[in-house]
Amino acid sequence: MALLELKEGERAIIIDHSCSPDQRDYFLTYGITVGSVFIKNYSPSYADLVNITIGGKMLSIRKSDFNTLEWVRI
Amino acid sequence: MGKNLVSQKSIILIGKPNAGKSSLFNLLTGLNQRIGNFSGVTVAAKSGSFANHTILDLPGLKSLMTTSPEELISKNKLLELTKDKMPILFVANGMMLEDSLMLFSEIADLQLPMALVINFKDDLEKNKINLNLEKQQDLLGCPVVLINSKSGDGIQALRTLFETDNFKVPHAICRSLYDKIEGDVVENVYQKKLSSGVGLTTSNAQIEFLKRQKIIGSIVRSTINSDRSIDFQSTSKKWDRILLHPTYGIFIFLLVMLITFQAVFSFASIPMDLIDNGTLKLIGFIKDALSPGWFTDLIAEGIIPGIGGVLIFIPQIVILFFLLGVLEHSGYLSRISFISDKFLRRFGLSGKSVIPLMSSWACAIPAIMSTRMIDDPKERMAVILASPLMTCSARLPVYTILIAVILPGGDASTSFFNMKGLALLALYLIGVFATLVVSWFIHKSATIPSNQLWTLELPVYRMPNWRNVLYNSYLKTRSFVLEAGKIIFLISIVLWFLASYSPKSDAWLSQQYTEQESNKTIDSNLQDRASFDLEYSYAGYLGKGIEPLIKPLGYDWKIGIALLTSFAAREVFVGTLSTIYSVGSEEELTILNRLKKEKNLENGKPRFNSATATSLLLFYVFALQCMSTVAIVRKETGSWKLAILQFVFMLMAAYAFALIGFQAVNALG
Repeated sequence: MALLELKEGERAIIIDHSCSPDQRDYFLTYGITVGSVFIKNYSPSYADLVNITIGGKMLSIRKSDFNTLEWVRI
Repeated sequence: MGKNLVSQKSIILIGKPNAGKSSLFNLLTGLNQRIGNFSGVTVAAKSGSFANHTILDLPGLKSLMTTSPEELISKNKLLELTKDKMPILFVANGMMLEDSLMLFSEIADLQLPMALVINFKDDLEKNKINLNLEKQQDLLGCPVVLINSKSGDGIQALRTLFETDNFKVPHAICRSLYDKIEGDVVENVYQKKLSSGVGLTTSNAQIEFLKRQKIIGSIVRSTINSDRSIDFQSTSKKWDRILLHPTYGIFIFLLVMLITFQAVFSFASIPMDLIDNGTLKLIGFIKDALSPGWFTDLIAEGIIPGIGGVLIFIPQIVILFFLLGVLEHSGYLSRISFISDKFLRRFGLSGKSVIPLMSSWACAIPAIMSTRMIDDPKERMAVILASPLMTCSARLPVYTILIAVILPGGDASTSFFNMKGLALLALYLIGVFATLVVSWFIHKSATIPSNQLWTLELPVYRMPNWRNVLYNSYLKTRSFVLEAGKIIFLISIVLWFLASYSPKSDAWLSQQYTEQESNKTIDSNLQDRASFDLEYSYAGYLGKGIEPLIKPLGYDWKIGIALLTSFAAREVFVGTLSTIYSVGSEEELTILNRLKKEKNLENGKPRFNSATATSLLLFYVFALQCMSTVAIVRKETGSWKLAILQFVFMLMAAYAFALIGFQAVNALG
């Protein structure tokens, strides 16, 4: 699902991802993996970033990287 | 490591970023600490003493499974140190305990003596979160201490832990996943896998991560008593709605930056004047106290002015690091990276480059040191190599006097907008533009592998830990003074020698001076004996030697000497011109008048006309005339080749732009 489909403050769970193995390992060190729950905080138009809360951390990741994640709203 | 620390037992301090590890380290060790680079790597690790133990503070680490180059250095150092079974003090963020304990569990699987320090006791109490420490100790298998690293609350328990040496090997969490069974023999390959750098496959790593998450989650839930519906980040999110607002977030950012750099210049001016005057008084005192001779001259005219040239920047550096520390500890620094990221990406940079680049407006040296926060090696290299093009404070005296040559009239400070001020702004903008172009060029052409993976953790907003901010400012300033001081010290001696001695004998010089004076063939500006001696000094010969090279730029040998001496530090340029034109320590206005009166002997026109001044300005915009910067680039890149290449490239650019500027202004008449 696309980033815009998730509103600010909504919770979602990651169900799959289509990123490279390096990116998966990298994301894993931040707790971004299948089964992780996150909240979308904000993604202002001037930035190429989206801020989420995951594992208690406020993380900003590139919108293109975010779009490699498959998630469902919970 | 200091001699007094060698005999002490060593403890490794480790934790995730933003766990308050540095605050705890500063609290425990006070000023009794040092920053040292591990050989062959650029990561800084601090060591200090507490309760008869040496604490080695390793840079923050997110996971032992890390793929980040900077964190790999930290991880490898941890694994190297643990070969000696060194105990580990793990610092966890009490407000993000589950996240912190994920790394704890990875380190626990190394099966080394450990203790867990849970930080932010004050925040836990404020949010009515109670921890059952005894149960946590039982479940984890090692001592747990609750502490507030800001106030020191809980430090006594930590002292007792150190004194009783009560570090315990914790329970393993996922270590059994690495058991290799061959017949009856079970070999655990966890440490071997970590050391070899060969990780698990992604799917295994994911299974391991989820298992750790499940176990740690269960431990935390059974030992914590709180209302889990409370959103501890709600205040930060509210602030972010204002500070990261799509419209006025950028204006707030620009305002914060304006105030920061205005404060650097404003607050630093008085202490800088004091240091400057103190240096002059010290020179006068030494000249009075010591008998005349080469030794007195070396001290008073070589070493002290040289070292004074470094010390004068201390106020700016202290203030800059203090303010950046406040921004960092408050949580706003990460937001600046967030705001600027998209713009900088066009030039191969990212939001993480913005702080080093802006720091360069004060001084490139601390700016280059601060590039360690950039994960991507290619981006970091681009910032190291391009940031000296940003207008540092040492260029200001040169710019001020040369702008005054081109644009005579009122003082820039008498009104808010005037031509001098706009000219200064234009020079700053040229510096910014050149920095971005060079960064883009490095991004496109350098063969350094680039790390495209990028995340930015935004910490919650909090009141800065003032002690920590001050400690860090002190340590970074001390590092700057010691690093730059050593080089300036040597260069000062060499320059003093070149400017004070001549290949000709004293008798020959006296005879020539008398003859030229009586024949009136000498340039009126050289009637002073000191200037005459300078012309025939080694430095003078060097100036004359490069004269054919710099003549197309509109310079003569005297400007050549000033250019040569200012290769040590840009601000030396004005001082050297003062000496050459025999105005000593008179006011800047006098120097300006002297520059204006100086004639070009070939055509009788003023030497310092608009064309020459424009040429010099462009030369100083691009040239890397700061040996301290060259030294710090060498230190941070670990390569003399790169440092020299950068120096040569900037020199060539300076020459080309100065030539174009001189010819263009001349053509325009």
